[in-house]
Amino acid sequence: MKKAMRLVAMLLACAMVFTACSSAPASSEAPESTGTETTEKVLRLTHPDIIETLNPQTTATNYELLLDMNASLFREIYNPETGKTQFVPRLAAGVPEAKDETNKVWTIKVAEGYTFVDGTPIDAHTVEYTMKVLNDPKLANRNSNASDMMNGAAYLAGECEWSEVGFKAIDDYTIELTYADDYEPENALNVMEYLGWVGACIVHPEMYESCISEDGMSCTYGSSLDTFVASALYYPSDLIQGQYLELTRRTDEGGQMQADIFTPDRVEYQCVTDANTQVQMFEQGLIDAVVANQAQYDEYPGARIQLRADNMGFYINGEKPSNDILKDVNMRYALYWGIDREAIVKAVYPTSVASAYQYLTIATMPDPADPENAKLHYRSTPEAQAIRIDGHEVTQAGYDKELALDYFEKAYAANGGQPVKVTAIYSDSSDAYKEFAEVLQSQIQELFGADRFAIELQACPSATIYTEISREVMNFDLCFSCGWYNSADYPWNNTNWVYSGPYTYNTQYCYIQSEAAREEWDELFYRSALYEDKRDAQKKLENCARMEEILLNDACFIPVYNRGYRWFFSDRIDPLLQEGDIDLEFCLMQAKFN
Amino acid sequence: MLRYTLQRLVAACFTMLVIIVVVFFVLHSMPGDILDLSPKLDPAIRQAMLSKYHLDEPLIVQFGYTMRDYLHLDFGYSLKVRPGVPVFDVILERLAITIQLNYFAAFFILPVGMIFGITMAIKKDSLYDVIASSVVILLISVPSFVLAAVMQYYLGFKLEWFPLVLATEHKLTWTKFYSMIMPILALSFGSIASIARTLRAELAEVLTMDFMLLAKAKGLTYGQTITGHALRNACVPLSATFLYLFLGVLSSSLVIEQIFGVPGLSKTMISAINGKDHWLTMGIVIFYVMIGLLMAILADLSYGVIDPRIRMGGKKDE
Repeated sequence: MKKAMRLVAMLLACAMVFTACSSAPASSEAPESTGTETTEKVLRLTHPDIIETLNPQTTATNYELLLDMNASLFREIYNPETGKTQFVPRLAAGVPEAKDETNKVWTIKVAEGYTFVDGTPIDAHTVEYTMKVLNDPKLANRNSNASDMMNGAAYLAGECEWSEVGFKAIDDYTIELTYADDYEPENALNVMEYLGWVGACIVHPEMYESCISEDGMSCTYGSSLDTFVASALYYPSDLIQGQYLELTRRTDEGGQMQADIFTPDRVEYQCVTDANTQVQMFEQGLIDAVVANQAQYDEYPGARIQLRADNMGFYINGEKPSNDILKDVNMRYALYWGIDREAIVKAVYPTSVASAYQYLTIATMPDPADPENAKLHYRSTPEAQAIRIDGHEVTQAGYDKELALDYFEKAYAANGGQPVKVTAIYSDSSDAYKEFAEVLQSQIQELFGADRFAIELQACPSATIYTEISREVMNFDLCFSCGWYNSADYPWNNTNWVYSGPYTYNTQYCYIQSEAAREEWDELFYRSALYEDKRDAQKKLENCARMEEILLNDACFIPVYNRGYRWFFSDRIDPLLQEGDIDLEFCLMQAKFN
Repeated sequence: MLRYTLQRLVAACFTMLVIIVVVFFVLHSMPGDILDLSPKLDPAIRQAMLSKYHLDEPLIVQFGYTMRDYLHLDFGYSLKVRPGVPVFDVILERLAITIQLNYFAAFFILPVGMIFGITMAIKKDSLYDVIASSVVILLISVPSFVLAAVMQYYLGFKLEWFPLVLATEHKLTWTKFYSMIMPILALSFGSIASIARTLRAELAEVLTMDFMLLAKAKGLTYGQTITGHALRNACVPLSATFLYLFLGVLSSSLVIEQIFGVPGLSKTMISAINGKDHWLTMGIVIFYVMIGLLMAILADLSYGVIDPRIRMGGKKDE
């Protein structure tokens, strides 16, 4: 017994040692209390992801968060005067200027006087160094962006020197950017978007060099506070990996970029992945904002909706299904018109918006009258309103039972009048997906008759579902848990969500059944993205509408809803936006403090 | 004893090797893109990244690279959870809080479980025993993450007795320890119940044995017979149970860390699996396996320490 007690005592001693060992702070600056009693403007938020790195070149998430610490030449902000988001110069001294009408060569002036938080000056050479290491072929950073630049692709492939790439500091405060052929931007806004991307945020040259491994294959820049130097208005003053990040506003003169736009003195991010815990923290007043899509918060006051860029619905395998009826476009039309989207959204996704469009309901396009400064609501344009599916007008609800039954009868007869049984896969990652699949199954079977068109539901691991529907596999009839990311600003450009390498629609998942329509779609895309219509807003609008019409008439992806999130905010802050922006959400870094 | 220990260590190394092989091929057979890159990513960047990590080579070649690195104690780099950071560093970074939490849980489990077990055995078939046994069954039946969620809701949210999530302090202060109480309790209940049940059964059996009558006949008090004779015999199976329970607590924290916002190893492992960060997943799995094998060896060796009548390996021939 004494030996056993000794064993316990030894284990206890080990526990003490571990306890002692684990208490080393990551920063010399210990976190303050939540500080609600002070006049300091502290924004307290939760973060669902682990903040994996502070390095803008390798991050896969947390773009806006990293943009608060890492300065780029331009940044997108919300303009309360216009009520819209816009790109504005940050490290840049003004908007980019094209050398001539070809828009191939652009000059960007870097503002003087800005510094990293350690006092190191920022100039054009810092920006060039950043682009060089960002696109270093040995480092192979995931946010590399050189392909748009002259010789950029060759540099990424290790086939030329950096000196041959079209990105140069021509003096201490001027950068010259030369685009690759066919990649010339339409206007200055495109250049600002390109250089406002998180991957293009500047890195501290000296620190970065010290973090590169001997073989030059990896870099630990931004993996801790000790290997990171902030360059924007905020710097990370405290970090517990996987749990906590605190940003503090810089007070030094060299860090006052966009100081009049962003309001908090300090921002506290706590990493909490569990949605219920987040809501409980909000109700206890520990955080200032929360997303609560759960049904029990339907009646809560003060909700604000933010639509996401996800266009959700279901896929139909029109290429090689288990039953040929799905190859019949009439069957696909029957499914398109037979879905009561409003009822589905109300039952399953009350914070989302029912939509039968291929593009987001709030999608915009450059206004042909003033493409650089004004946008049109795409759906309100005559071009979009003229879209027809097999001669029928497209509506947001997209629900017509009689029409659906007509199409179904045609398809059923063409299939020999035989009862049909197909399998629909759905993701097992959430109850909502299961519920969505069950409601779809119920609606379709009820409309067409379960004895004539039966759907068997089959749960599928979320990690494999996109593999099952990929064009190499196509192991499905219907897929009820998928959608696609769609840009609100460039709907035409994001219909090609499936491209990989060659810019064609029919590469990865969906497949336009008609070869003529497929070729037309590709042609329109090429013209709009790269060639003759690239700088013609009117043509692009027309192309965009025609591309959507092709997708709708093909009906292999049946849109059902645009995903929406429901936010609640504490009384301490007043976000500027009533409805969230797709990319910038509620711009909480610009919120007013009460 | 030494020979037996060496034999067990060699067997453990072999087990470890088998597990590494299995885990490697299972992880790499998971569907989807290991780099999880956007289809829109430039093909040149994609190819550069694939080449950098040898992902464009056959799986068996990749396995060869992995084993070669492991032999040099190089566990590679995290791809996504902590891009660019060596796996070993990531594990060290997250290990402290996990160990801290689990050790506190383990040292809460042992005395509480023993007290319940002893009292239940002494008061066998009494009302106390019935109630305590029912509670034990309940705690064994309900998963720890359910208890965690219930505790968080009632004790943390409704009654506000405890913080909802782990305090964001670097040092182990009272505030931080206080915020660890709910996770510790959530981790402990199941194990307390296991120990109490095992000890009750063992002790109840020992109490009916002849040598207990002898002890009483020698004039020992009831307490002396319990602590000096009965408990010692009943603890032999418990010693092994306790070491395995520690491993169980370690794995239970997978969900507990998510609920209470603990930046531990388990949470990192879930992120690594979900993110197909295979090198990090492998590193953490190897760590867990190592702990498991070590516990198994310690459990076996502890039999001989606690009860000298039990001899190991070659000793039986002496």
